[in-house]
Amino acid sequence: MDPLKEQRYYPPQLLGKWFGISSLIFVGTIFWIFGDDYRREWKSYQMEFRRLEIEKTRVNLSHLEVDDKQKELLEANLAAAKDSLAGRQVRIIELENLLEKADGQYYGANLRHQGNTADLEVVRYRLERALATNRGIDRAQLAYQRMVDKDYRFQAVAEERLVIVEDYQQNLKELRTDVKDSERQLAALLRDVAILERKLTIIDPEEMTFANKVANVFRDLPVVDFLAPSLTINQIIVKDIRDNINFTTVPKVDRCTTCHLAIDKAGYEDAPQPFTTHPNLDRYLTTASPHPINEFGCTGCHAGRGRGTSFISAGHMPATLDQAHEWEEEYDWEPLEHWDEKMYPAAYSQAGCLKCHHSEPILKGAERLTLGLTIIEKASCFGCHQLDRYKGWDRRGPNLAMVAGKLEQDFIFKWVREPRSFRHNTWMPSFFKQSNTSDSASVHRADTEIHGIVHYLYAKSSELQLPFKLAARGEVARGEALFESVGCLGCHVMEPEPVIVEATLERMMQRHGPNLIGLGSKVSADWLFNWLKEPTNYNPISRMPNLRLTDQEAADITAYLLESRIPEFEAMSVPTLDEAELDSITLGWMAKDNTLQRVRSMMAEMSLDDKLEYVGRRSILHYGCFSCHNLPGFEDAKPIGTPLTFEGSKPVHSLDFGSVHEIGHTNYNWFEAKLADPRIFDRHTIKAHDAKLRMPNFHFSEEEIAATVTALLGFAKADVGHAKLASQSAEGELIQRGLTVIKDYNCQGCHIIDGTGGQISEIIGDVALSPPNLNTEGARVQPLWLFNFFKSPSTIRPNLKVRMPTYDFSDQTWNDIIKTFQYLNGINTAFEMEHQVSTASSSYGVGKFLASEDVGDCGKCHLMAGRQPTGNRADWAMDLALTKHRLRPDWVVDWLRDPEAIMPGTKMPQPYIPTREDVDFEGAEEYYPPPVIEMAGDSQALLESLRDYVYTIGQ
Amino acid sequence: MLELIKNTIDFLSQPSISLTMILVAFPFVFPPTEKFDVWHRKLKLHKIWTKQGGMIGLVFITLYFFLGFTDEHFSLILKKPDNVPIIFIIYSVLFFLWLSMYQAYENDQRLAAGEPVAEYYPAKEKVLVWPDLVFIEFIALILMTVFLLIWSIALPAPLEQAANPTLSPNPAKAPWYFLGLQEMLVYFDPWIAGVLFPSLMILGLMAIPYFDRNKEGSGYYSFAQRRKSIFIFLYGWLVLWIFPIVVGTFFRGPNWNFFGPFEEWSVAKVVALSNVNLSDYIWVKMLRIGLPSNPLIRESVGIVFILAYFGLIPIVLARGKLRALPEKLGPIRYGLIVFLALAMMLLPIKMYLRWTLNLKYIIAIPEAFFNI
Repeated sequence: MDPLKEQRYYPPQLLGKWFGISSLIFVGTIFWIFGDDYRREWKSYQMEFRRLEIEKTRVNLSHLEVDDKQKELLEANLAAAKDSLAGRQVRIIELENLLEKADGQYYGANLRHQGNTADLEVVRYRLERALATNRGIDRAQLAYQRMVDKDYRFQAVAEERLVIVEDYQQNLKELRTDVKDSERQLAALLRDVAILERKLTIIDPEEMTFANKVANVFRDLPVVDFLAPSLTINQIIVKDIRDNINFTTVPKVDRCTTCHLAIDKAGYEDAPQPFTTHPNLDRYLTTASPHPINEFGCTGCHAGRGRGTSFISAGHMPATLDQAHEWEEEYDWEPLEHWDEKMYPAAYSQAGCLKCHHSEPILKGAERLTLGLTIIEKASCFGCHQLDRYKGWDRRGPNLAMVAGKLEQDFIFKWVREPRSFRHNTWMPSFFKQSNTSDSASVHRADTEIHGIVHYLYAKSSELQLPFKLAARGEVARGEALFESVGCLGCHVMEPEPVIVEATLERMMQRHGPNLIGLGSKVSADWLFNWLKEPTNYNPISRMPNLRLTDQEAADITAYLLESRIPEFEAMSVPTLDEAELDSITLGWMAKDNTLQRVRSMMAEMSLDDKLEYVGRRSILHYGCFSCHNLPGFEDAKPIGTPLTFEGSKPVHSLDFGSVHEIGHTNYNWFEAKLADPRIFDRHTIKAHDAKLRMPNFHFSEEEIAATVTALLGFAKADVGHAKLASQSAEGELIQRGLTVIKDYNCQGCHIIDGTGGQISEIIGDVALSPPNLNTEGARVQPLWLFNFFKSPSTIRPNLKVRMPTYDFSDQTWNDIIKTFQYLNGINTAFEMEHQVSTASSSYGVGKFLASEDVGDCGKCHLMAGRQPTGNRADWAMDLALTKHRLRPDWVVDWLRDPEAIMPGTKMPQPYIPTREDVDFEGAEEYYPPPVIEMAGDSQALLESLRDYVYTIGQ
Repeated sequence: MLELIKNTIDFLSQPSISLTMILVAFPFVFPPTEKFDVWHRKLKLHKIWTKQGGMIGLVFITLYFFLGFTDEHFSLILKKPDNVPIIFIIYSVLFFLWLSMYQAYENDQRLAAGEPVAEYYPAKEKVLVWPDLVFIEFIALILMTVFLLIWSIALPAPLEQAANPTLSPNPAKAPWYFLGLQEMLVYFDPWIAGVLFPSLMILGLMAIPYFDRNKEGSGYYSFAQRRKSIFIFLYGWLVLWIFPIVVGTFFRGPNWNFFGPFEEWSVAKVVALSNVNLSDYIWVKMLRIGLPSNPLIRESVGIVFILAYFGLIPIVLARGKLRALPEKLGPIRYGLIVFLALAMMLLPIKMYLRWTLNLKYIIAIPEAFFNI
């Protein structure tokens, strides 16, 4: 034997053992794969929610109260009905037997009829063929006719049988009626209980039938769970909002409701996350709300990765670094690396609104976003940063083309260096001595630059003409009274000391214009007087309106405003100009585009003034002063900031965090830090002065930062279908355009428009003495009258001290505003027939009676075509003669019906309108004219009569 | 202390230093001649290829990675699912290198003592296939499948969002097996690093059986019998292929800058880019006249240099040190072998020129897209 034959590398048993072990491991791994695939985060959430739902249903069931007495009564009824039914049992059985037989006969007859109908179709086809081919028409015709006849016969038989069947059925039904009714009543009483109980039998294993119990377990087992699992991924496909996947877009698919199972169900407000109900179901998710979940999904607003079905893959984002650490501990959270559109933290959810509501100046329900937009408008971010939303908007800061005629050089120097040293809450931001320019060299450089800026402004300033001569002597007390009553406080405040003001749209509107402190340290009496008389004289694009002050009034207000001074500011000294520093700055700027040698020779020919002007011009260019102010020589200068139109979509890696590591690595954390300290990302960097960050500091509060960041996040690229866009109609767009002007000029500082504004009444105190609530303005006034009023405001309410100012708008703008009012109230007629009333008509007579001294007594408060009211002067109201050309007849009726509903707080009482009972007594004719008695009770007709009478006043 | 070790490793990992260390150590670890072998044994480097040596190496590498996993910066790189194969590569390459060298040294000892090699098997035409080989292969297959399955469960492949052509990741890295080529791009033009060199590699590997007709050491492991061949092969495999992959994976961060393994990958890291061409050196720095406008004149020195490198060196060697070779191999084989060997040397030469002289290109004719 060959010894090699017996040779083995390894004994076969050993190999077998290894094979066995490795196969077992392999099988184990296969199970592991299934297990790993089966075990999903969302499944545990769904199971947990099921428990919660069972618990909740049980609690709800136990809270349901059923009227026991009622229940007993109904049960007794049912029992009685069943008893009486027993007496009719013989008849019922008999009928049932008959019905069964008749039913069989009907079934047979119907079957024959249907069979014949099928044959008829065949014969019909043959006839059609014969007609088409012109062959054998007669024979086919005959066969067809025979079949039709036959079909009628069969149909008749079937119908006969059916009638018999229905007859028996009806009889049976009648015999059982009382039982059925009793059962129905009982079921109605117990309906709510039955619904909950039924729900429990579906979801609660303890209430299930045995078969359901088995199915309940079986359907969610691995592998078979593709059939009809109870644990499933829920998804909403949102067609109009699309995700960009670079070369194409795909509809959003939101699977958020896989875990957020009760997001659209009321009753889970206190449940733990992810089962909590959405905090605002009136506005979102429910079918009755404007944003139903099936049309808008979740990530359309909240952003994030809708397809994700785990906490991490959905793109949840923590608000702060601390929260991030908490999440890391709790959920092993990590940022979703490969998804740019991560979820907004809850604080910034409103950013999503801008996707569809992109033209609204005020978004109701999105207060933080609205505040953010308002801040961006107020701080004029779009001056330096391109923002398509604000394309074409004017510069927001004062005109500096004639600044030499307004301010002293020292004032400008101190103001530019630190505006807050003069006015503690100014919107002019601080450019100098910031976190990256606080070293002594930078401060020294800044002083020299400011000298240059002041020099430039003065050198380029054109001469200011002051057309109004301040002749009258102003009186401070009168001025103060005027300042507080004439309407200045609609836009301005007088706050000598810093006060903590809540960051809201209303407070912003109240501070629309500057805080008017310290004017005595700032401007001359002549200038201020002229400014008050006609603001556009100094600044042609000023948003300050003309209040049509008389010379005396303007002089009084001037005197009052100049009273206020800031001694600390006046005491501050202006450092002398350091010429060496000026030279070095000049050299630095000039060397940017010239060789040092040439710069030196050029500088040798420059006078001190030349250098100052040069440094001033370069500094203005560098800091972007022209972004907010009209400055001679910078009319066409380009914005200096980074464009913000799509800032919310900018990937995080495009934001330079520098060496700032204490904040989260997210765009919103970056924005927060940037707004709190615009120079923060220069920390630990070594840069030339002109390369340093130069965004000025607006000294925003925390809430203001949060609001601004919300808006910034909202400035994002979005692929939203036309159907989802808000204000997409021509009317909607016009409304938003009008509302934008209204907001920009702060009409809402004085008036309530579209439900917002009217803060001035807080100061005036009495709503009746405040500028009118314009809630129904579009329905209220005639467009032509409104246009004329805007062009030349006239007194309407004699008691109001506050004045409607004159705005220098174009006809187009006024038309926009008028249409906005109209469209807001669903009115779209530009031209309307005058409401003509004949004094001969009966309605005139009825109206006159209702308005008469003994009844309505309109003349007690209202002027009547100039006739003075008989009542207390403080209650005097507008001249009713205005009505004819001012008000719209339909609205007047609505107004008369319930003035308080239209203008809360009005002094106008509801006029007396006689009812049927009022006139239903003996001798009523003595008190009421016959047409009134006839019409009594018909309030619409009576109100129309009163209205008609009012339209004749002053005719 | 730990900080000091990390800083030292960071410093030593720089390609210029690590490559130098490897190149210096290489002939001592894999002695190509008897002279180096004497030093090899004097320095006790042959102990590396014993079991103790292998264990010590294993412990050191494991300690290195352990240190890496505890470091906040290095762990980010190591834990990246894409990089896990590179850790496997390091272990497996070194293990198989050790295993083959271990067996080769054992055989060398046997041969020296006149014993048969370990692979010697008397029945020359017989291999035990069933069940031995097939069964073992089958078991290995099952265990490998298990390993791959567990890997895929434990470290799921990341599903990334749709690629955005306007946003390239920084650093943009090739798949790990191409990182060596990508590393070469730092020193050579794309068509050389990406086309010429890879082609030469493939052709060179294909040509090995024709170049190497030495029957010694066939069918069993032996180092002593094929010192030079093994040395050249390992130089190409370890220094030119594995080393750049490791550098590309672990040490190249944002902007393709070099980062030590324990260094933070800061996007802001700045490396001076002051490389100049050979022609600049010649015409501007040495002769102090401007660059000639004719590119051929301008680059004449570089062209001469390259021609001399590939043309003169083989002739000089054939007359000098390698006098025996042309005769033994024939002129064509000799020429090809020397050409390929010179091409293999060009990479480190260019690297050193870059590091020492900031040399950008030896020949730079951008007009014709031709740069070396």
